[in-house]
Amino acid sequence: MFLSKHTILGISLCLILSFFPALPSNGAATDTLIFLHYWTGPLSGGINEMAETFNRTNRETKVRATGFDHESFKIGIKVMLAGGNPPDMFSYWAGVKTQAMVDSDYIVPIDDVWQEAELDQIFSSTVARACTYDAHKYALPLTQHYVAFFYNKKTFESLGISPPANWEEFIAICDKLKRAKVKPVALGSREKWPAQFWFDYLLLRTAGPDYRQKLMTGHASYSDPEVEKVFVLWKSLLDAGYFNESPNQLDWAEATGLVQSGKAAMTLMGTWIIGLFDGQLGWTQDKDYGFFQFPIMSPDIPMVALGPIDTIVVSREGKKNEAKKALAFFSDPGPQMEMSQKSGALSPSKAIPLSFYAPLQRRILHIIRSTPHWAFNYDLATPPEIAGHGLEAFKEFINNPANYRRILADIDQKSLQFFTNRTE
Amino acid sequence: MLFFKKNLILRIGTVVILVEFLVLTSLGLFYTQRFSHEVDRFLEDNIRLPGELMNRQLLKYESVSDRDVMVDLVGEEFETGSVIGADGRIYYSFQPEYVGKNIFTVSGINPDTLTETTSPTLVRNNENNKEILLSITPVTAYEGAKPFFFVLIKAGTKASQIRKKHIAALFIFGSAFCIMLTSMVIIIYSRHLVTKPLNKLKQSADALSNGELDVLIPPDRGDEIGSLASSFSDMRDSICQKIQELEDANSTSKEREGRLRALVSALPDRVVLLDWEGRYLDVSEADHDSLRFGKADLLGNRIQEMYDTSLSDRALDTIRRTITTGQSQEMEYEMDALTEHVWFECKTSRIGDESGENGTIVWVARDITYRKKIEDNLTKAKEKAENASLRLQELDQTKSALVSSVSHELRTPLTSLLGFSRLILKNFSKNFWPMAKENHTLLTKGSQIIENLNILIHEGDRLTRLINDILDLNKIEQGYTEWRDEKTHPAILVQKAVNAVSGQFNDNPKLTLLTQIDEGLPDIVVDNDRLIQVLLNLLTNAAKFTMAGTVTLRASSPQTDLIRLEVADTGPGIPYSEQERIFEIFHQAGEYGKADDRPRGAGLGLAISREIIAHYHGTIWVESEIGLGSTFFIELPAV
Repeated sequence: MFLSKHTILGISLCLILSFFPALPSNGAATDTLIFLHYWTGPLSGGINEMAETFNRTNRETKVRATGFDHESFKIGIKVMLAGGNPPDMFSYWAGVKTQAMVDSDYIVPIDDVWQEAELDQIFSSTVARACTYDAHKYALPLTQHYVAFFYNKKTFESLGISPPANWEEFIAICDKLKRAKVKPVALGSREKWPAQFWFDYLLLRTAGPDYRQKLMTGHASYSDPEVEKVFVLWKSLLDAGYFNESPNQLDWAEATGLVQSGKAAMTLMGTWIIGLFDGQLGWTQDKDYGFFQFPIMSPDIPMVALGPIDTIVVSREGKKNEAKKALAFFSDPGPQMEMSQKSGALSPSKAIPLSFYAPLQRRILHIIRSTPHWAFNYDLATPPEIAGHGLEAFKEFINNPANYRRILADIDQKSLQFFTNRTE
Repeated sequence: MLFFKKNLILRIGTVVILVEFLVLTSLGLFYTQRFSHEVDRFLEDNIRLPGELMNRQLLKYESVSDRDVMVDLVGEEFETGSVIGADGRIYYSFQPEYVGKNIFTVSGINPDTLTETTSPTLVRNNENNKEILLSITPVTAYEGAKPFFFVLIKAGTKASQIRKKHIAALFIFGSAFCIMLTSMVIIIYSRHLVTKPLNKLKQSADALSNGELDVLIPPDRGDEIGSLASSFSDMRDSICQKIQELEDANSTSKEREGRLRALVSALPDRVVLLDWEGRYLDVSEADHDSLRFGKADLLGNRIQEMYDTSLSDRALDTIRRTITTGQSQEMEYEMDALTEHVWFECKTSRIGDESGENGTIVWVARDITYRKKIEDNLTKAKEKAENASLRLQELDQTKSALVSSVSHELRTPLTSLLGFSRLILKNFSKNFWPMAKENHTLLTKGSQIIENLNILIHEGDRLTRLINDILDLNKIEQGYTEWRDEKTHPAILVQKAVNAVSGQFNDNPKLTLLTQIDEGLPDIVVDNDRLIQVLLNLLTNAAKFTMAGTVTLRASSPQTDLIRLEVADTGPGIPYSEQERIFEIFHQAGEYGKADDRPRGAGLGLAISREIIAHYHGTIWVESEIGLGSTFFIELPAV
């Protein structure tokens, strides 16, 4: 009935200690970094594990990784930054989007992080360039994605189809698939951006990376025959019925589902699709699905690898020092591998051994590293304002391919207006 | 109204309808209120939905420009929506022309108002005489962050209002329909199950009341109506039985009434029925033509109205006592008749109880005029008789005194006469016989003189006995006798009596005196001398009248408290007609001839014996048979 003195003392001590669960050894308070990211839904995986690893190894600073809808993030982060209520650090797309952030002074340079961690040794020059804006490093690369055709192996094998090496083979495959009552290509462009890959690759394979860069930067016109050719080709694919019905009604994950179910044979998507296939749809790389590069359309046109690089940037209004520490941590191979493993994405870090990756991923990595050119996809390559119009134009074109001329004229006008105003 | 009051189903139906109306109205008000609230809530939840979904990143911000999506989420009431940045800039809008503009310029909403909204808010406004609902939902990126977007959704409430009206109308019509339907069902069902069977029962009851006792009582059901019908049937049977009993009773009653009427009619008495106030209810048709008021005069009137106060007060008092006590009362009264004064003796009785309002007093009046006259006469005769009795008593007393006096006066000289007679006899015998021993004539004369003297002495003794008996009897009758009672065993008395009479029996060798004394006789308390006197009397009589045979004196105890003494002889017997008379004064038993030299008694012995035995509450009687003898019995109470 009565407790001994020792027992009472022990219980009291425990109770007292329980009120101080997170006292740091030096007595300092814990900082919480808000890390807002867009790896949610089909893109989810890896980021929480990365944050938890950081939190386990850091007493002073905790990272609270908060996911935000991928599409909502694009506008939301801008509004947060404009409203002076940004997270401490956030994921962002390398390219013109980050440039816009830099231009708006929403983010801070992290040259010191790169220097201290010697990240130039870890990341490739292409990746390092992608993180450099106005001669400063502003971003820490976390994932590198490659856009390719991902196809249903069983569908292909059942029809005796092999991945095409060129455009003609591609068309032949499409015809064969079509005859077999299988939609050759699945496209889910409800969120607009998945359609851009078709424009990008058709333009890159027919006009080359240099022309595309001009177009992206306003030095070429949407009325140019190069662009028109792309739309004609694209229209032919649409007219041939190679795409699933109502692409604008599906999102990219639903289109991927068509491939997984065998209703469609392949889809042009980034390597984040691996996370969806492996993680959520229960497929096995190289067994259930495979990939092939966008076919060569002209042997004279250099090959370009297309895809986004996801980075982490630090808000100017946030806890910058603590965020940089977290970035330094995230640059380590451990967190990089963690992110890659869960998301299916490739890590841009060269420190990750090839053996870490699955064979399919290794082949993709080989292509990325061996392709002479790397290009960001359309909405990361051209200014956001134009990208918006362009994505809208692609969406309208898919609905009404016959109106491509008017659509091009419209986008051309807007592009011209934008670039003219910017110059002035 | 009368029809309404008479129609049960209509009344029930009206009540049911009223109750339904009240219930449905109450329910209707409650539920329409609820529904109205639910409709409002539904609209409010719907109008909040896009903002909530966007806040949870389950809905694209650009969806606000998609009418189909907005209508799916908000409903047909959706009017417009916008996604506004914290700076007031419209980023997405249902109205594309608003995109890029400041919310203040297009709607008048102050952006600062938005920034102060930290939780979903609903605002009701009136625009152009139309109520609109405005939902403002702040969108945050993470917990604790400030909203960076505000989702404004505007919806009208017209459809909700219409829906509410539809609900109310639906309820009203539905209620009305329900009321009508249930009322019809109740009415039809009630008519079928209740009214019709009740009507049939009523018809049966009417037939029953019209005397059709063999009417069928439907219906045959297991519910309350059936139970009622069963009760009706039982009631009918019971009524039939009661009717039969009543008829029997009525028949008996009529017969009794007839007999009673005949009885009352035959009664010489006047029978009157009065109420408790003395009002005449009925009067029998007794033959009292001599009375002043007949039946027709009396009926309906009260006593006090018909007769004077002295009579009516007494009558009312009698009535009152009859009522309060419940016991018959009697009263005698006289009243003036037409030609004479009439006396009545009445006896009253109460019909009903003390409290009864319909109580009746039966007043039976008997004409006692003649009896009164007789009573008067008897009273007068009685007075005369009493006077005569007094006179007789006086005479009796005078007689007793005379008897006693005379007896004493007679006995004294008689004693002297007897004494001197005996002395003369003694001296004559002593002196004359020597002188006349040779003289025949003297001897003859002397014998005659001796015979005469003996006769004188004999008669003198008889006279003495007679006087003694008369005195003795007188004393006993007057109660002057001194009784010396003592406890005695009957055997002693028997022995003493036997010893006293033994001489008489010794004189007659043909006659034997026997005694029989039972064992275990109880004692008696008597005056020994008196009882021996009685036994001596009986034994003497037996010896006197029994020429030959036996005389037996027995003593027995036929009961534990009784002593029986018997004197049984074998004499000639006593005729039956004499058996009682022999106990009378001066009556002698037996016949005496001229030559009978048996001493004659005074005829007082048995009378005296009876008086003695009667003094001790005993009895004495004789049983006799001519030629066989007589037995005198004495029974006395034992101690």
